[in-house]
Amino acid sequence: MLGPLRRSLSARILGVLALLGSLVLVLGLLLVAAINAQREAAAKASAAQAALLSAAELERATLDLETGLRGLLVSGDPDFLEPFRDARSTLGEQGSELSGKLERLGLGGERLSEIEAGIDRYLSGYVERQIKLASRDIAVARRIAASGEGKRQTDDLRESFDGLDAEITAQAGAELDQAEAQADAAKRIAALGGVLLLGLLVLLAVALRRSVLAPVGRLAAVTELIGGGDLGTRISDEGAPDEIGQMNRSFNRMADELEQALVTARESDRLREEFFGLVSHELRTPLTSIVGYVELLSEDAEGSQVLSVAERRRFIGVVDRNSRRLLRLVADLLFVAQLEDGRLRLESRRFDLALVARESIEAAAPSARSGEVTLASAIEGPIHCKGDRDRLAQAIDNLLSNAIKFTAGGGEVGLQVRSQGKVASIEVWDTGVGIPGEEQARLFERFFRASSARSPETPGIGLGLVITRAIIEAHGGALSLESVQGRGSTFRCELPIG
Amino acid sequence: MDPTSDPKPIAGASNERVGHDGLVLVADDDPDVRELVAFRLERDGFEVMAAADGEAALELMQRRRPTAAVLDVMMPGLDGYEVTRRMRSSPELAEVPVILLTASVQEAAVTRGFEAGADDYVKKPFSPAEFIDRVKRAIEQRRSEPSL
Repeated sequence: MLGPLRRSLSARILGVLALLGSLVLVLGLLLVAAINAQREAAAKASAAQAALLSAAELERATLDLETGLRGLLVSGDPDFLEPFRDARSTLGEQGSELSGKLERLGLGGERLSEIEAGIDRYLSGYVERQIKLASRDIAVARRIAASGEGKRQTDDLRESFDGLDAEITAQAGAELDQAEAQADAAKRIAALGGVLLLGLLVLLAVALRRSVLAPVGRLAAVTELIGGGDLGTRISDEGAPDEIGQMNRSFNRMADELEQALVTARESDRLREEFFGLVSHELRTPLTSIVGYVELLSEDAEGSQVLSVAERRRFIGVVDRNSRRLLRLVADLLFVAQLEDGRLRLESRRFDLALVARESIEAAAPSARSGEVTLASAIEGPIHCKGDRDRLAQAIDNLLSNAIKFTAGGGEVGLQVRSQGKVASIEVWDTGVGIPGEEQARLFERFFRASSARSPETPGIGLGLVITRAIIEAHGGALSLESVQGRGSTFRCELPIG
Repeated sequence: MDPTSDPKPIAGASNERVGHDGLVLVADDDPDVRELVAFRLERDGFEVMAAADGEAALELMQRRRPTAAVLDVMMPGLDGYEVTRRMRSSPELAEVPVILLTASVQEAAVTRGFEAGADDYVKKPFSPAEFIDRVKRAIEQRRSEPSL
């Protein structure tokens, strides 16, 4: 079961389609990954932007510390400390905000800690001390400010901020580069996958053409030929043991059946034609004698008067005999026609079968004598039955005349009739030509004539046994045959009685 | 069938045109038809040799070349067509007029007869008077056109 399954065409096609599907899925995932990488890069870029913005704000706040201090020192008015107070209150918040943004960007907090420490130092170590000092002695504070200590610290801070900005920018650039590299790789793989997909599709198309379309095309061509009447055409290469091969084999088998049916039909046509030829011959031969001899007799009667009395008597005898022959043939044909129409009607009367058999033997005696055939009989009786006496007599006559017809001079023909319980048996045997085994089954077919009976010297049109069997079967009986070619035949009827 | 029986004059349409001296072969497997044909031919002065089948017919004709041959188509052994074909390929019998008797109603049977080399055909059943006319006409035609 596994073998044919593995070779199954649809399984193979499904396999290839599954492969193609997986490939498309992988390609799709790669593209999604590329898009995601790019989106992430964009997000990183905007995070960097935000971080830069935050850093700038923190820087400005840091500078605001100085601005407030400077305002105080210049004016001596503590109101000018307003920017300092605002900046100091926001420093912590801004610091943690920037820290969060840097973290999101994937940057370490060292630089920021350094800046915050610097700010702390600047704030507590310089700005707040100066403010305190200014409240006591503003001149000393102004001198300290002029010494450049504060400016040095703010310059350091400014430098640290520049460094942070540079780090943020560099980090964002690296992220962007990585994302672009990822996207590029994804695109390359997708392009490769696309080429692979295309190649697979081409291969699939070629394979489908070779294993499906081409065989279907061949099948179509053969179908066309068979449809056109060339019934002997077959698909020569049935192909692999897959569905196509199976289809081809089934098709060939179907064509065989069709051809066989046609041969049978032609054979039956031939038999029919042969039958009509025989019927024509059998009807026209006695008619020839009737028409011919009647013309001779009427010429004579009308004046030529050349016939002797013996000749006239002989001619009338010929006309009589041929009329009877014609009548018998017409009756047989009518019988078969009735049989075919299902209009066969039998009489049902009591009679003695033994008596009928004896009459048949008497009737057969002249032809047996002229054929130099010995006629034997063993008839037990009386056998009382009910049925169509004349038809049964016809059946026995037919069997006897067949037996005599197919038995050469010196041979023997016999009739045995007896009854056992509720069954009568009628047996007609001969030492004649016999019937070949392969023909025995067809013997009861209409129009069929055994090879031994096919030469025109053997009269008959192949209806005798058909009629005989029909009569026997119409009485509920059965007709069977045993025959050995060259040794003789025995026909046996089993007939229910009583 | 007795070849010595006297030719008797009868009322016939064309029996005067042919001399009553021919020998005619008659082959038919039905004895009644064979006798009818023979009787009618003999009454017109022909001598008749009769056969019940094709082989016997050829044998008789090889012994004595007839003036004409009347052959039934459906005969045991060699049929009428085959006997005609064999006559046509034999130097002695090639020019003997052949009249086929056919029980077939089909045109194909007639065509087959002419193809085999028959001069004429008569369909069964036939009028003996018309039959004798056909035989005489076939003999006369062969006499006037021997190359046919």
